[in-house]
Amino acid sequence: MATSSANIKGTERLTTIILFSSMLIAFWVFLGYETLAAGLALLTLSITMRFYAVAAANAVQKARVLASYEGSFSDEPVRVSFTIVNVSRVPIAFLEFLLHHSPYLRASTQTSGTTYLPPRGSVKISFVFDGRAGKHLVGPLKVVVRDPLGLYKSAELPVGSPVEVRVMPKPSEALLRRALITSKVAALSRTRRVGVGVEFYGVREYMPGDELRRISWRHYSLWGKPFVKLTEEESSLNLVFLIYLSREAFSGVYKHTPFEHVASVVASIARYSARRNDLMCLHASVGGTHIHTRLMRGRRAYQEIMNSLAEIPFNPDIQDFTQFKTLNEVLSEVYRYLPRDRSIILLLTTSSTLIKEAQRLQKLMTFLSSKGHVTYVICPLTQAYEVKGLPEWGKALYRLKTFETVRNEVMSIRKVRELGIPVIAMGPENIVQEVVSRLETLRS
Amino acid sequence: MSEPKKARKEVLVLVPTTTFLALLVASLIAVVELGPPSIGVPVGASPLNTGKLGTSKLLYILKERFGDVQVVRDWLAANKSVGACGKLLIVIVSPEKPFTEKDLDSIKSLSKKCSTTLLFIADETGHSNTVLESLGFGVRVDGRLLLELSQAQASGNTSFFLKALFNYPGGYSDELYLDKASFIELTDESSNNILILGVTSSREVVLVGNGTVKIVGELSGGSEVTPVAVLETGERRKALVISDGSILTNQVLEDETWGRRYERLLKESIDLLVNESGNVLVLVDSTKYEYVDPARLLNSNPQLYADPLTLASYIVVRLIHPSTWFPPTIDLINGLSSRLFSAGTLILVVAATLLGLIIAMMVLPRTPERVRDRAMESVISKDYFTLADLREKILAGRVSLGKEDFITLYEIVNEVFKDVVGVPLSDERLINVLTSRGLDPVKARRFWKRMNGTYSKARKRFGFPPIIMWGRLVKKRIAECEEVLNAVGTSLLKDLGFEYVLMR
Repeated sequence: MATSSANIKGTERLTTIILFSSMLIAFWVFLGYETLAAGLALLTLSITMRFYAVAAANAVQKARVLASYEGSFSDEPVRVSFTIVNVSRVPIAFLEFLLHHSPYLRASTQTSGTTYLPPRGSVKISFVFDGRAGKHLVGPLKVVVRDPLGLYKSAELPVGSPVEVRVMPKPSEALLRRALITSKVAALSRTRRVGVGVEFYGVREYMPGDELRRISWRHYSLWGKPFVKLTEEESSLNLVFLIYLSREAFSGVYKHTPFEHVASVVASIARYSARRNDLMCLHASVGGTHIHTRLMRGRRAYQEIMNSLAEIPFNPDIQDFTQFKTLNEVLSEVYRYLPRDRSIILLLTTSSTLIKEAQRLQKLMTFLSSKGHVTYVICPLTQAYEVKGLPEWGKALYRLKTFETVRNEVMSIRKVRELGIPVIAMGPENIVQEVVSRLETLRS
Repeated sequence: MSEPKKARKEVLVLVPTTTFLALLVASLIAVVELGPPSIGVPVGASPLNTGKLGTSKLLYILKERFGDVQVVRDWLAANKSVGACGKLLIVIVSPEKPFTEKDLDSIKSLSKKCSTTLLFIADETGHSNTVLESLGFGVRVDGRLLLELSQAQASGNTSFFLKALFNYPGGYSDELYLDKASFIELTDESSNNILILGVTSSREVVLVGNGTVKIVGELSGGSEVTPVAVLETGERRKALVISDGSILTNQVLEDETWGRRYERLLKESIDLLVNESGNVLVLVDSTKYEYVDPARLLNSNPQLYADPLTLASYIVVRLIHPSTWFPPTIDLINGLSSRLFSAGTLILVVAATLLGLIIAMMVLPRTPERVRDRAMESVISKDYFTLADLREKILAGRVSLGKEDFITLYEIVNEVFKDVVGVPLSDERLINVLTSRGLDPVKARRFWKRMNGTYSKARKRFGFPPIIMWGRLVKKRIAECEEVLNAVGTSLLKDLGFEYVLMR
């Protein structure tokens, strides 16, 4: 699409140069032909510059833009690159660019600047962002074209399309290791039942029909009669992560919002469970979008969950943040996908939702419980996240001023607990270890 | 729930335009006062002269041969910058000024720092004799030219040369022509330390051009054989003196026909001095030549002094300097304004201005709509907070504390104690509990009494004595409470606050 010359505007420099050239023309009357020539030359120059500006703006409109990004985890920088290919023969000398992006994604580099776009050539512009979990919109790139003298400038012209940057939360390695050690030391993950597995349980005398490869030759040489090795039955959980968050889940300082904490907790638990070969899936209902994964095991399940977490749009500015499905509706939908065996549902939701839906939730959970399923609610306490980033005295003042809200939130959670719903309230300083311990208790 | 404030880019004018312009004019005047930059084109046989009379080609050849080649602009500075070295080769070509005492002291000092001092002199002026003397060499350059134009028997052409035969111990031998050769004086010709490398064998005056040599005359008088190149060897020192510097200039070394033969002479001479390659520091003298303003050179033959690129860069630097254009501009404006505002033309000026404005008014509507040329406003990153206003107030230090805040503080501490130790703040047993948790008994009692005392005052409508500055008091109590809360494992000031106790 070609730019009409109406999209090209004059600058204050154009006014000055026209005034100056008009004066030079007028002063020709008594200063001589030189001033007339100079005045006319300046006018011609300004007209030439306009032609150039229109041609350059057209060239920009026809330019091809290729966008890409690198960096997938929240602890990595995200590098978004735009390559502008000038397909025309017009060199674009002063191409001012500006990158539009989600204000909730912090840029580590300048997002605006000026560059030169050679004819039939290309220029690659890279921007670096501080990665945070979720889906973020980066782009489009907007450009303004000027002539070399700055007499004309084009309107802001969008080039290319926006890029959806998907950033996965980083599971905490240290916490994961600690959780694994805790469960091993406390022998939480043992079933203490004879069955199919790899862990050695004991030996018993050989009976006809036993597999010969399971004979323990050491015991045979010791006792003079055949014994077979017994293994401990391997335990496996069916784990369903259900993330149901309202707008306040996005409040807090950079990388320390309840949403990011919830995402990190889910990522850490999913990674832990993937090692245990548990059956897992994720249902996320945030900001009007509903994402869910199929029930899978191991590494694949973990990868699917991570990809889904990166699909959740990080945007508290969505005007209508009301979920298109209520928590009960989502839970009912989750129930349809649950396997017949006992499943553990980890519901991660904000306190406001919990308080609002407590009665209905209780009924539904009683029903799920009757079917042998176990539900845990993990509730991030919003105010605890907002304290972060304040100076020490600021923290004290913030706590004084928001005590009533915190108390009401805590009291509501207690009331929900009284209804028989197990709620684990969580702040940014809490770790996944407690959740893992509870899961392991259920495993055994 | 409060909305986050819309981020707005604020443009602060730190320096007004008028101040900037005033400073600009003042700085221009200051720069004009300082005068033009003191750059000059080196003329003569300087290694920095890229013109025909310069020796930049010689410098280039030396740089190709040796790793460490330095051009000396000041012998004192060169002496300071050079530490101990193995071999030191000093190259001096046709110096135009005598060496000063300070220069000679520096050269002697340099010589002492290095194990071997090698001197390569190509000079017809005799200015280098002081260097030879200071380093203890006996050989001297006379300074009088062998070939005076008046002695030549031909007329009508000035390109006369004197034939010389060079014969080096390594087997190198050539017949070359000298332009401005002088005599070389030998104190003791029979000495073993002195080796004559080149002589004018025939006293023939020749005309050289395009590869052809034509004998045009003969010098009258004088001895038959005159040495023009000599090697003197001493203890840890050697000097090779050629009594003609012009043969090492760019116009000779770059000559298509003869250049290679003179370059060979130069390389053979250097090889004879240095013997084998090794760690050689080469210092090429550039202190004894004139530096001339590039503008002056334009009137003469500039090719002799600099190559066009160097000369152009010098001239550009000179032209853009305010001292070149600022005074004439002021003169021009002054002259023009005096012409314009003279009594007779004032009406004409007003008329012309009006006419100019009319033309501008006619042209401007035909131009595109105008906008202010500003950079595009970039996106400002922000964080979303449910209580953004409160956070902002806290960070700006605009939060005031009152009686209600103390009541809240009391309730917080009360809740924590009830949860952690099972005793409310109003209960006196709390003192013993706190003492058992490591708090000083006196401090625990004082804390309990103060908190409860202040709380009862805050609850009452009128307390006596009345508390006027509640803000200061609350801050004081926060500090006290923090100490006590730390004793029971929680905090008001840290990230892991009391809310974690309540949410258990």
